[in-house]
Order: sequence, then structure tokens, then C-alpha cells
Amino acid sequence: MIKILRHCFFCALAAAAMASSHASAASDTGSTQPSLKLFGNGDQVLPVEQAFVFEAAPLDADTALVRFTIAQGTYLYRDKLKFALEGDTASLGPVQLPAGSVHSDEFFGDTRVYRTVVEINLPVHRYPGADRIMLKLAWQGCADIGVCYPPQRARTVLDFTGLKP
Amino acid sequence: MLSAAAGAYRARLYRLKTVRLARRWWLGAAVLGLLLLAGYGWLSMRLASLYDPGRIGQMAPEISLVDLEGAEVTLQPGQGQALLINFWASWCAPCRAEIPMLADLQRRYGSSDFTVVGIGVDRAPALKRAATALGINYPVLVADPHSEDIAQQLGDIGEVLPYSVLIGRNGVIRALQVGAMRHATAVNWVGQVSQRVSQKTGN
Repeated sequence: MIKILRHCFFCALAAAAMASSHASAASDTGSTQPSLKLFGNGDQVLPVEQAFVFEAAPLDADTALVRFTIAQGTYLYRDKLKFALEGDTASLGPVQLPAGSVHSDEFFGDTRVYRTVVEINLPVHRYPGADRIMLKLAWQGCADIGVCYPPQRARTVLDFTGLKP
Repeated sequence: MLSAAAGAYRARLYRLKTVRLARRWWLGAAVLGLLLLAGYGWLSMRLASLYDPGRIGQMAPEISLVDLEGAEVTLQPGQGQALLINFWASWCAPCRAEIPMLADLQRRYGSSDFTVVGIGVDRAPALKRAATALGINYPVLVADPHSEDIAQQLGDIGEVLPYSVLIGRNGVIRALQVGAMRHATAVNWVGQVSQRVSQKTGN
């Protein structure tokens, strides 16, 4: 019985040693094959277009709603969230960004970030007849694992057709 | 007789119990160690999925960019100087955390054999301010947003920062790293490409 336990201990040590060398090979030289399947789907570090997904649609005649769905393990910087309208058939009113949560950083101090989901109401002042408005958005975020995604930009059409003030 | 047998039985139980407790301690430590290493391995795997290791062994492309003073600089791999190219940005906190280590590396091992080169994926004024604040002592080039993404060309398919590439003196890509590099890794990289690591003491 004691012999079996002792062997198991050394088995555990051997397994740990192998895991260690494999792990250090992966991070130090960067030359192992990427393996997405090994630990299942849980908290993968996603490509940026999957980490931050936005939806934008008119809420009523003079408001648009933008929602960002933020993957677990990632966050968006509040001060990097920007909105603008293209063209001169509509103008954007003052945007009140949600407070978000505090993220502490040794360089930037306490910054405000968004996690999981954030919704922003955009006041849109449209001139008569302007039903389709082009919205421009910008955002930038990082992953808790220690990498940052580059700033992202997108354009999307807000269709206010049929919505009366 | 019965009590003697019972006494012997209890004594044996007692020995087995202490043996089991002692063994449990070893097992607990081994399991904890395994879990820690597994966690570390998991973390490495996550970062490993964001770059293309297929670049390793390929010749690095020639890179023509502008430096912080606006002068055009061309990196020609294979001219005898190994390069540690580090992609970073002023807004990237993990990049800023890593840079002092790279500056120290440059101080110790920068030579005709080896140099660190920073490529800022960022606007020049912000890069310049950050470079001064961080004490960068190696060339910094500004990535051109209008031309093909060099980081992607060098395997950063996730386009994340920080991202580092080791290019040998013969111009071949030797190693890639997503996320900040540890000092030990950086010294290991220099050792792969330069004779000078063994000559300098105190690493």
C-alpha cells in the first residue's frame, strides 16, 4: 500500500514535470502548436471581433441604442468608446456613458471599464426626411490575460423609417 | 491474549493512520503543484492560440517604416544583426510593463550582433512621449496604418499587443511571443542569436 502511494507521488511529480516543460515551451519559445481544444470552450482569449460584439438600432424616433456584448475575461475602456454620425442630415446630442467599473492599472491608475455588457443611449436629432443615418463607432479593450486589442472602428446604418416623434 | 491482540491491532491501525496522514500531505502537495502547473500551462495555451507558429523558420520580410523623428528606416533581416522586434503601443498597459525589461536587455546585450527594435502600433506623438517616459534606448519605428499589418505578417494573427518576434542573424524567424515576455525568456532569446550572452556576467 505504501509502495503504491509512493509510486503515485512520483507519478504526480513526473506528470507535473512534463506539464511544466510543455508549458514553458509554449510560452518561452512560442514554438508549440496552438491547441484550442485541450481545455474546452470556457474562457478562451478570443479574436477581437468575437471579444467585443456590438448591436445598434433605433430605440425611438430620436434615440438609438448601442449594446456591446463583452466576452468573459475581456473589458472595454470607457474613455475609448466614441460615437459620431456621418453626413449632415442628423446630429448627435450629448452622450451619457454608463459609469462602468473601476479597473486598477499600475500605469494608468484607476480607469473605468465595461465588462459583460454595456448599453448606451444616443440622442439623435434628425432633420425632416432623414430616416437612414450612418453611425460611426470606435472602441478599444484588453484581455485580463495580459494582452490588448488594437482600437476598433465600425460604421452601421440606423434606420428610423416609420418612427414618428 | 485478546487484549494483547487488540492492542497490537490498534497499534497497527495507528501506524497505518499516521502513514496515511503523512502520505496525504505528499499527495496534497503533489496535487497542488500539478494544479498550479496545469493553470500555468492553460494560460500559455490560451496565448498560444493567438499567433501563427508557422512563421517560425521562415525568412523575415524587409520592413520599411519611419522612426520617431520621421526618418525612414529599413530593417533588412539577414545582414548579420539579430533583431528582437517588440510590437507595442502607448495605450497598452502590459506593453508598458514589459518595456523596462527590454531596455535593460538592450543595455546588457545590444551590439552589432543584436538589437531590440520597437514597432509602435500607435500615433507618433503618443509613442514619443511614452518612449521617453519608459526610458527606451533602442530604435522605435512607427507602424503605418495604411499599409499591410507587419505584426500580422510576423504571425500576430490575433493582432494583440504586446507581441515579440526573434529574428536570427541570418534573417530567419526563430521565436514568437504573445503577451509580455519574462526576463528569463528574453535572455534565452538573446542567447539563441548572440555570442555575447555567455561573455557578459550578471545576467
